[in-house]
Amino acid sequence: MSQQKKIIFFLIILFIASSVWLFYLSEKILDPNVGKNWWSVSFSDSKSEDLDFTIENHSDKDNFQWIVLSGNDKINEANVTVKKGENYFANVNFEDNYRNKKITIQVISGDEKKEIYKNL
Amino acid sequence: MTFEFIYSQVLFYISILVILFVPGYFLLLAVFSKGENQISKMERFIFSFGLSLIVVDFIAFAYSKLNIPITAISSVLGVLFFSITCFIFYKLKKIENVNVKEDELFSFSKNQFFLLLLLLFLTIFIKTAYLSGTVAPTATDMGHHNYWAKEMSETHKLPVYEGMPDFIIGEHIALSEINMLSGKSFFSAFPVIFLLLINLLSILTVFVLTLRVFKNKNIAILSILFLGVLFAVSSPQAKFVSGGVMGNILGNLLMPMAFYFYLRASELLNYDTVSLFDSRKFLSLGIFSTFGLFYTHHLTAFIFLFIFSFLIVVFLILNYKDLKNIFGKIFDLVFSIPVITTFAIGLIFFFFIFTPNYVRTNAVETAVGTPSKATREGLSMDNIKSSVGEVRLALGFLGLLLLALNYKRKNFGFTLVSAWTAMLFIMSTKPELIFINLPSSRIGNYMSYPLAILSAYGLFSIFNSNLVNSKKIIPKKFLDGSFLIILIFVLTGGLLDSVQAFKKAPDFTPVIETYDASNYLVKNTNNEDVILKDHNYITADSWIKLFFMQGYRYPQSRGYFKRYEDPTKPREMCTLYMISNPAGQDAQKCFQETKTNYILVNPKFDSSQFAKLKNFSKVYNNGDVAVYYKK
Repeated sequence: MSQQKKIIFFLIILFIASSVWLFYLSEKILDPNVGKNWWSVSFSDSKSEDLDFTIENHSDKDNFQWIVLSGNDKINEANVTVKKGENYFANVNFEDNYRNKKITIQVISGDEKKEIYKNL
Repeated sequence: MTFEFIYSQVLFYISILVILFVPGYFLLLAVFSKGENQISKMERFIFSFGLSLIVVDFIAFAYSKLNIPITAISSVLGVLFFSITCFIFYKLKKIENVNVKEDELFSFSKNQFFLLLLLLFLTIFIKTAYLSGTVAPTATDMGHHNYWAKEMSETHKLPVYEGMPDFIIGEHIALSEINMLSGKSFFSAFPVIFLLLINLLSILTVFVLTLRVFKNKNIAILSILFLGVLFAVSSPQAKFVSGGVMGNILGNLLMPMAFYFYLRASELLNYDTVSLFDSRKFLSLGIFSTFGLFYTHHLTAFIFLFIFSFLIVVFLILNYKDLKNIFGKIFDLVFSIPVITTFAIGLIFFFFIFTPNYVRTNAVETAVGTPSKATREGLSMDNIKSSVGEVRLALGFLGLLLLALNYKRKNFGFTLVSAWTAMLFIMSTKPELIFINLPSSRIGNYMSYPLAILSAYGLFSIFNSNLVNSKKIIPKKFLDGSFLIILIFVLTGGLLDSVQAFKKAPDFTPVIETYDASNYLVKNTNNEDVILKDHNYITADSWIKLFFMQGYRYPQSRGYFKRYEDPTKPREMCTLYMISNPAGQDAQKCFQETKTNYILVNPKFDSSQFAKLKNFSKVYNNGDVAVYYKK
């Protein structure tokens, strides 16, 4: 094999090795559960008066406490286990006395607290 | 590794081969048959990529004019049709004087060969190490470019860029076609790897260009040290790759490639052994590459025009005694079927088949004139030093000085390298002299390419005993000691920048959180909803538009705060008011006019202004991104 061919093959092999590595890394980076620690809370329907919500867990913690508040009054609460990579759906029934109030969903896991709310 | 991963990898490399190699390879085969040794195997390999980029552009333009959808199948068929045509042309050609002898210029000694491999390894290794920490799709420019490539993949039409002159078609065609063919998502390493390949090819192009200019293997190998290994991370190298500075990366391949072909065409002026027929072929390829450049990046094309004009003027002045002979040869060269045909095809495409959008807008006029901003008034020497690196600047100018001392006025290559450096230096430091109104730092970034060549020439010339010490005036020990000191200076200065490549990779959680919030909005909105997001505090926000694909300006964006205060560019204020003070009268008017009903912000910075408003609900929260819904 000529020198030039050797150089070309060397370049091709290096490029392929480099790109395979970068693809492998990007797959890991884009996986929400690999090497990351976060969770989210969201209403299942953002527009309606529906108060159902979802906890999406991509963190190492799996114990979550959720509290539903109407203004400052606690309406409902629960402790749930959500494993990494799993979602938890909570059903919160809408009642007429919630109307014109701010309904807040507080979710606590460890020392982290996140909340969402709807002004009904 | 899963089977799926391996399969997708194989498909990706086949796509690269089909889109970025095959058309250029067959074009070169038709122009220079295998038996002809005007270009070496390495050159054939390197230029196949650059030429392919241009060929696939032209095929896409033809499809666009003929209203043929640009799909994976039509792209492959276009490449096949072009390649088979070239192959038939190659087969029909009569090859005389078949000479398969290895080009002497590309035959390296054992030491040179291993040094070359080592430098290539280091180049790729350092860049890969840096990109390992930046490969996630987060960069703003990368997001913008990938939007257009994705639009092309989804609509199967060339994008029209909503009238914006800053995006140029050649930046997106190959990227989109590789995506269609390989199925690789834009949300992967694929765009970065595409740019890495182009970046590596630009370094190899400079290597062969240097080899042809100086006919010296050591200088050419050193050019890889100065362009590939040293300052491998800083702009316009790996940082531009990860940042998605598409136009510059592609331009830095196409401009030296065009220079290479013009250089080879010019050999007719110097050597009696060079055939007119071959020079015409090189000139045709140079013209073809120039059209490719104009279809790919306006700034590089603009710079190319200045350098090329300066080069021609300087060369003619230096050879004024020989003008009659030169013009005679140029006449024979230019007024020939291949050259005129290539030029005519290029012009027909440019004006009648597909005209780049920057030609139709006032982009050219805004680039010419008195500098309008402080950032366009030229760089200081300190700015240049930090842009190209102290080592490269010092050795580059030393190289320029030595080149002037050893000047061969008939050598087009010497004039090329000198004019390339000198014009970039003038354009970036004294733009008012030639009425340039462009950001000086962007022009300054281009200097690293010619300065790498000159640094290689400078370093080699100082310690080349034939040049410096032919009369044994300088003792060998002194020469060796000096070489060691300069080498340490070169390596420490140039490799210091690569330390960034080995820093710990950042936390990509905020990126994923932005994607998750975007997915939430995709599921919870429809075409009647209007979203506004913040660019200041949300990571990778320029990629949000790829989730919706409802226009480049969708979702609306609150830009950097300083942009709202720029007196030279008055702009709309609604995007600022609606997030910063949503209760204000201005914001209320804006909400009414724009019908904005979803706002995406970082709750750590923008939360309290919404909390007190009764018409806003916080419907999503992951800690770094929150979504507000306005009733």
